[in-house]
Amino acid sequence: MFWQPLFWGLLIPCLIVLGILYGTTRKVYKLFYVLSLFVYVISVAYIIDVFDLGRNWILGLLVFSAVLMILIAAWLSRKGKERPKRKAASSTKRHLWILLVLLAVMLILIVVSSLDVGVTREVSVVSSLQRSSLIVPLSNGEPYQLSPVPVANYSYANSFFLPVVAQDQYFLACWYDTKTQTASTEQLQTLVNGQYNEYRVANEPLAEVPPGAFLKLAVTVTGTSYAQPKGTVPASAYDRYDAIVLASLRDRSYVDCSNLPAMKDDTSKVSSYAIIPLK
Amino acid sequence: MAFRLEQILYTLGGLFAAAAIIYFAWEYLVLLPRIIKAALLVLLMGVFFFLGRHFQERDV
Repeated sequence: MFWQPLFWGLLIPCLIVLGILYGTTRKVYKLFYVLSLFVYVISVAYIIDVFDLGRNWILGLLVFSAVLMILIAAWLSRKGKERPKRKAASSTKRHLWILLVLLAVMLILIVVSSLDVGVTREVSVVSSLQRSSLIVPLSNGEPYQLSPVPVANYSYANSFFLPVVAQDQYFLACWYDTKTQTASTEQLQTLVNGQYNEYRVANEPLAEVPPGAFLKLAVTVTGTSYAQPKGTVPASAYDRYDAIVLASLRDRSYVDCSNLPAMKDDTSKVSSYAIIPLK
Repeated sequence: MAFRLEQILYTLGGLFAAAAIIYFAWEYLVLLPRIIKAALLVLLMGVFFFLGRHFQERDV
């Protein structure tokens, strides 16, 4: 993901250029031209990066950008020389119309892609888990190795004409005490389709379902182990937990396990919440 | 004095607008599909360009 460092790396010089340009010329329009160029560079970087384009596409995009910039420069210099003053008013009106159309298209795109139309989501969570599969006592010197345990499947079918981002982006599993209805501060390791949750989330793109496609997110968790007799974590530390809580969150914001029960009803953040008893 | 107050208000307005755009992008746009984000970026470039043209015509 190089577009984010590039964005922040170019933003500071861009702000400096904007400040100098406005300080020396006092013309607002020049600032918008610079902003337009900045957004173009970021757009090209974003497209190359997140769509993981091949070398032919990258080369094509770079050549296209070069030709586009040269043509616009030539057009602007010709317009600057030819433009009669009396036509300025109608030209301004035309630019305002183009602006309105562009803003309307942006708004329509945002609204249409935010509608959860044509998407079927199914969530299946296991009814219970074996305690011994998650909390394993090890004898001294035994290698630390626990197997991931399947806990849930999230499936999406998209019949919409646009790609859809899955609601469930980040999975969090915590030890849970049903009597006090509190969760541990410690988090169980979560894997999504065999990848570390943190790894998957840190690397965009977010889970997307292409038009007409089906996506399945299989979630597994890995518990903990304690060494005997000189364990650093005593076995009794887990005695009070009689369940695990599994939540899927809509975005990548970090949520502490102990805060999870309090925010379970906040559907803007938590898209599913399940308590799985340990037997 | 009036000129300075005007400048301060314009700057504050610009800062609030930038904050609103950043917050909107952070909370809402981040959850849109990649193709929509790419299209929005290209359209935003057009918006800035034509705003520049508009202000240039008005010699602002």
